[in-house]
Amino acid sequence: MGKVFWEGIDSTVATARELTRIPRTCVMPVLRDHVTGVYNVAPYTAGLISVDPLILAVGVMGQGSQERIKHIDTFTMGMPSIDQTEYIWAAANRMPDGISELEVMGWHLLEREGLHAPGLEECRINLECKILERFKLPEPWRTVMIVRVTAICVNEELIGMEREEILKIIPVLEGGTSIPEGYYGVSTLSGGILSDACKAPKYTGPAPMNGKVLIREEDFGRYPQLRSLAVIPAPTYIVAVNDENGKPIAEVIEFGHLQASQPCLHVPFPRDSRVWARIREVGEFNIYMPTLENLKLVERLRAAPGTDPFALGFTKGGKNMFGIEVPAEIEVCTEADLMSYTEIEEIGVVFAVASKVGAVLEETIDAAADLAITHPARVAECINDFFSRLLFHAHDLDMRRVQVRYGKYSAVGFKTAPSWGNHLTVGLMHIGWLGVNAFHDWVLELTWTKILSKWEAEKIIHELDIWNDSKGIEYLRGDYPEGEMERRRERLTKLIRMMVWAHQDPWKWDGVHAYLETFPNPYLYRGHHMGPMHLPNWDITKEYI
Amino acid sequence: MHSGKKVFWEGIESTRTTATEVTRVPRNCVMPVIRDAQTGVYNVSPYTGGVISLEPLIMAIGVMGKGNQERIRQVEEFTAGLPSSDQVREVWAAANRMPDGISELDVMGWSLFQTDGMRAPGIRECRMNLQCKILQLFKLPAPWRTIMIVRVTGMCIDEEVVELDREAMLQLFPTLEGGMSIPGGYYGLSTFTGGIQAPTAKPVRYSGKGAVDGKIFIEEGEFRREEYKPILAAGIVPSPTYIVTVNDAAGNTMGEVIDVGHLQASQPCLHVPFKKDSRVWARIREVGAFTINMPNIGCREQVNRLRESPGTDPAGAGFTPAGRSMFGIPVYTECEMGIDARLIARTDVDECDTVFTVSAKVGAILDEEVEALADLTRTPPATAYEAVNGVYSRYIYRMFDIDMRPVEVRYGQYSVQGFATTPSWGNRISVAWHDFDSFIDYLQELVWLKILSKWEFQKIVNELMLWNDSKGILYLRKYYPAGAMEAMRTRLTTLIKLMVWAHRDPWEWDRVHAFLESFPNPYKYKDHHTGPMHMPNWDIGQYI
Repeated sequence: MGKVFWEGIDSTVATARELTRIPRTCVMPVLRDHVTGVYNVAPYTAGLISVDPLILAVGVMGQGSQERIKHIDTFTMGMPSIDQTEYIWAAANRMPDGISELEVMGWHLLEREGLHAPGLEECRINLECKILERFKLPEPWRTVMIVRVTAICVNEELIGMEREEILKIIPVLEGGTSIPEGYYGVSTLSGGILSDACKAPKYTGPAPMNGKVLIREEDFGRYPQLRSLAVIPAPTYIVAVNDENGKPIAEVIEFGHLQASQPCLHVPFPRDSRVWARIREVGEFNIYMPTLENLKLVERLRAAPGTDPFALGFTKGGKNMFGIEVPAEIEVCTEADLMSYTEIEEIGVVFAVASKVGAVLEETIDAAADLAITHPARVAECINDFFSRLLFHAHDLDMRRVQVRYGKYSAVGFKTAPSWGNHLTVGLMHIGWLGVNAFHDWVLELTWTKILSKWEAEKIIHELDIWNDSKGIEYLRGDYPEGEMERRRERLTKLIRMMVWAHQDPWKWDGVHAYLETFPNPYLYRGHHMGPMHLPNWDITKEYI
Repeated sequence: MHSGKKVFWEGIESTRTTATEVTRVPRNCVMPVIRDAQTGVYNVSPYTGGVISLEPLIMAIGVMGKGNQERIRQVEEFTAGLPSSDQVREVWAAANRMPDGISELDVMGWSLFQTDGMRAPGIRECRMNLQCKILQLFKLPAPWRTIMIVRVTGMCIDEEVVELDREAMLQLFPTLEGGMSIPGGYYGLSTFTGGIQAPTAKPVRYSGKGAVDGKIFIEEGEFRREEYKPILAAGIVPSPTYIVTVNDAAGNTMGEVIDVGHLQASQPCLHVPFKKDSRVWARIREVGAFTINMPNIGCREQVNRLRESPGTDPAGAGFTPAGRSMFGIPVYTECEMGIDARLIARTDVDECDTVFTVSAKVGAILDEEVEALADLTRTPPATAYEAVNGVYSRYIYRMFDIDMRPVEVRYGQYSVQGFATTPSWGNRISVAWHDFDSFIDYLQELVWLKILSKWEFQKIVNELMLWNDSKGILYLRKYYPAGAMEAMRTRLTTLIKLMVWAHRDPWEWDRVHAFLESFPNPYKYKDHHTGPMHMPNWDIGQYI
């Protein structure tokens, strides 16, 4: 089978991006804003770095969130369930600073004795985390939090449930593709985990309080069935590089996560890895995504890390832009350019972050995923089928002796939710000169499509102007009447909450219109810079023609 | 005839249209040419400038935008063009935000020049250029702008206009940015012309040095030489006179006439220079708040009296109190408009013994009749337009005699004739929502109005993403083919130039469509995050 090589600028084509965006786990950190005191909740994706101790990496985007985590040592994050995708989506929408996503979602903080930072009441699993390191990537990129899970809080209905059943409910995985429709692709993969360690032993731990059980890190070993809930499944992959003689060496990796936002590859290596030593020298490497069909070859390579994969049975399929051979058996490969790395002393791991700068795709899958030649339903099917054949690893309840099992996920249960943003600019996230704001673009579209009137748009814009991310109009803030900001916070929160759910259920727009009736008349605040208008009192025929 | 009754808008209410429009005072347009140290590109944007001192000639120019603020840190000297009243369209073109690395000059079709003796290039098409040395970069607290305090170290004037009489010169340039136009999502560059009572109306016989390539350049040391005084006078732009008032510790009012500085649009919008020994300033420094009254031409005698006794009660000079502002400071019947100001920042300009202050407008006091006429919910726009421009035309514009040494102030009156507005980037809904990028909003509107197709939109967006403010896609930059960035720069410059002028002349859109044909196919770059689409190959019938 032939290969298609997408390199450099061309690696931004849709097929290269979609197929290399690998499903991953959604977590929702609850971060208190040190200035406003508001608890912010946003969905991120997390990758496992180590199981003992339990260490995760969570990338944090957005200047506000990056600033917030500088002032926090411990926080709790909820792991949403498959039935909560609408709420994940609601929290993913950008809110003005000072407006809490929690209130918009209608969710509540989980606060209880023994939990050192509030979590999410509605999440069945909450992980209390201590930040080990804030790994700031070079500007303009994100900060990656390396966190140690210090407590787990679980809903009692999960206790005693079999592992397989729990994996079907939690965690939600963000899948990579859906029919192109300007939607934020929160998707779920579920079902089909193969594990002979699924049987849950009888639980004999502390009694639930208000329906939840809390265990702290020192007790993780006593309650493996609870600890295992924090060990999130992810696909296995192979990292390859050429050694100093130009021969490929490779290693199987089960940790980290391959996410969507550049630099998108979070790859942890054992500190003494031969492959890592070579990558540190040359800066460029390749990631192969094996599927269930490649299981035996992967097992061979796992037993001999740092060896030539082609000597173990992989077939040469051509050299990529770095001169590294790609295996004929592998449908999707990613070419990576090392950007930054940090050492995690506690576990002897080097955590590397790299950019995706190329993709090598099997010709048939590239064609099947190409919207210019394939119908979108077929494209979604092709890509999701590929994801379902990846080697997802799960861990045995006995974490100390890490035993990897493979699960087969089926593509059932994918679900997408419509996003903020509009049909034109939904995917343009703060790209250079285009300082796109999804909420603003959404309001524009609502107006152009006549869901909102232009006066309603003006009312919303005016309210946001005066709120100004909870700062108020800076030069007038001192002259605001007492209680003004709190009144405006309540009004904006209610408005956004109504708009969020109207976006999911169009019949709810009537409620939004009725609520906007109570907003101040924006006519009075329009300058000549604010676009054309016509007011009923302008009888132009009578006076001016 | 005005009743003298006032409407007071305070705090949040001061953001009302009537308060913001009527208190936006006409001011001068200057176009500094600033070289970007990273890209080597010369950027040109229109700003408004205000004179702080005549001798030496010192001006303040506020610079907005992070990129521009960064750029001016890297220059010590630059030249600024003064556009003429026939160049409003080019000024507008330069005001539209361009991606970094794309030169407004190329888009405008203008060019640089640097004649013998000039230390930084100016704009060939501007009939007057001022060479400026930055004395101070006065950074206001974030998120606000940086103000360049500059000393004019040279002037360059076109030979063809050097012998114009003063009145003709004032009508030619500078362009003044007026505040009011019919609400149309337009960037309101306006021109005031006519009616100047010029102190030296007689044609000037120029006897100075000869021109090089049609331009005469004089250095600061030559400004005061008799033969070059007409050039100096032409470079000092008129602006309205105003009165600053504050109450002293005993509650008595003190007022001072100010002929310099400028009252602009972007908050904190009041640039008011005081002499260091001003009593009024000493009190403002203590209390942090003051009121500005804008006298009109009918009360020039009272203004002159107050000018002669600064720091005294304006009532003593003949002004009639008509209520008190939010700070308890009197406002006057003779002043149709007043502004409540809260001091934000100040800096000493030692070269001219001046304290330069910047304040926010936090309240407005308007004559009831003016307020009613300027209120678009009660008045048709043409009437509102006429009312506000009428207020502007009644201000006392100060100008200076050719003989600068004994500074003699004369008043001119502007007529409302000659206003011109031009359409902006941005769209009809969010043009003034400044946090957001007006170009992307403009593109969206073009698509909704079907002026651009959605595929043309995607082509432009894709090009802008790859260009990324001349940085390229950061993580892929090193993999760009040789020459790709330069090819993109040329392509984007051509595209923006075509779009700028198509925005003025809709028939030009055909050329934009034709040019976009040559852009790469955006289909390939669309994924599920980049919006819905339908492509010809999707025969949905077979899937139903």
